[in-house]
Amino acid sequence: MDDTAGDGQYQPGEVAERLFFTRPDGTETEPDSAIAVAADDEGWVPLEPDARALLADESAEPYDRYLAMTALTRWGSPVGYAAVQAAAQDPDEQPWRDYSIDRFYSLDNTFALLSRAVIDSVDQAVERGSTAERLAALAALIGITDRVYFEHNLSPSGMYPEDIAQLRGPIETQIERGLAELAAAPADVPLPGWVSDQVEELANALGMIDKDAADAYKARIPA
Amino acid sequence: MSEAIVKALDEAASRVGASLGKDASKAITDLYRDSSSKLTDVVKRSVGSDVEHAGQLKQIADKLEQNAARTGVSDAEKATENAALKQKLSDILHDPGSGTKPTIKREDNDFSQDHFVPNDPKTKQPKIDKTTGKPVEVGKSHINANGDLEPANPNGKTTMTQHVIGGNNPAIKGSSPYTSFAPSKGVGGKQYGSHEYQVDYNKLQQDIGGGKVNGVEIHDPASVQGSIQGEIDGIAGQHVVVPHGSLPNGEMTQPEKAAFGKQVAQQFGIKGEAKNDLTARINALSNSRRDNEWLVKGTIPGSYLTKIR
Repeated sequence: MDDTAGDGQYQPGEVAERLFFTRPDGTETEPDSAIAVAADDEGWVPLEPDARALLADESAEPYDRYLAMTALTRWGSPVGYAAVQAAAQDPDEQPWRDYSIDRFYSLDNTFALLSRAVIDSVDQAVERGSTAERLAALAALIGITDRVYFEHNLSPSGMYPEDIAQLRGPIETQIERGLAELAAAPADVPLPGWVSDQVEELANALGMIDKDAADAYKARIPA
Repeated sequence: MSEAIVKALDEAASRVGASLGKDASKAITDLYRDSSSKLTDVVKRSVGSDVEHAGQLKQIADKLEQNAARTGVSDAEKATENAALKQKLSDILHDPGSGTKPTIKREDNDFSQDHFVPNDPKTKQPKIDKTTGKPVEVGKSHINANGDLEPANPNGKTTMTQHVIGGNNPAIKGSSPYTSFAPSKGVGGKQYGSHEYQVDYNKLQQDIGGGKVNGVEIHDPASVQGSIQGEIDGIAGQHVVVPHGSLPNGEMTQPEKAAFGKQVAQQFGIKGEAKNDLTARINALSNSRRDNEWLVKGTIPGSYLTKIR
């Protein structure tokens, strides 16, 4: 880790350090690299038991457990997808919220990063027969786009048309929910701009498979 | 500022020359170079007149290059497209802008915190890191005690590309000497943060150049994207033309990114960690094009900041 990091910055515990910050040869790496490299050629096989144990360990550092959930998800594990679904049930109560923020607005982006792990695990889910669980996890995330900032991941630049076709129902339900919330918001206390943008991005995503339906939804988004 | 745009245009013109001949290349460079071949005021004036111009000029450079590299089309078709892009380039270079002072903006719900202190959702008290036993701190750009806009760590070692990629390592973000900005389209519009500051980048650049401001660098979209592109080229071992996608500003769709990443990895035999690095940088380049992202390295003195709300 960078030696300029402040005293209060997150420090991984022993298991997370080994799984996500150390290469097999003992040199330092980053969680994104460690997780992605293990996603290929079943590299996750020797790592998954420790990741599952870390995710289940309630005494462990919350962000360590978050990384374990991210890794299991990226590796196509049904355990990871189930954890994502559970987290989406109560996003504000997750102990790892706010450990990571985006570069433009300093907004929490833990769920945004988690959404990438779900989306990018498409091949691993096919290999492991967990596509249904993956789609359920993605649907759960789509269902909280009125409450949680996803950067731009749930949009045409973040989603596959095949996933959008499978999740058309949840997407349209969420667009309707977002439109209702935008319409109900008092003019003097508007919702954050990303709420409206995420409704539009979901509609744009829908536009990858049905442009007319997407245009009809977008026409209803308040200016 | 501006130099990265000229570099991008020069490189694009060079590739146009290799594909369509010297005359086609010269027709492009004549638009922004004077007889002494030095950086002319044309690009500087264009970038200085409208905050959108920097991103637009980089897009033209990308498309000139992309067109020159096209396969399966005739030289005549390439020449027609090249002429259209050259006209767009000319239009932007001669567009006087909106007439208002161009600025870049940053929004945040709380600029006063030098770090974010997450609260435990149950106790409502600051979260304690179980490894260190100390309150969790997430470093961020903020207004410091002097009223200056300070990045998470002015002396941090995080690179420009690492800053844009972000990712799952909080230490990388907490060690960033960069602050991200978006082009400002005036006052109003959708708010992502309850507070907003704008920076007059022309004045700041002028005073950096004149030695009044030290330790600060402004990176326009061409510079940010050029840095990411350089790392993509480094991974591949040669220059890779990253195509503009089908979304606004050249952003790629998810299938476009995935297909291009796989193609490049296969073409250059890129595997393992390098493959992940490549994928992350293609994604970052696409995102940076979408956002027309500007970066400022170092601490911006308060006198260059305008508080909007």
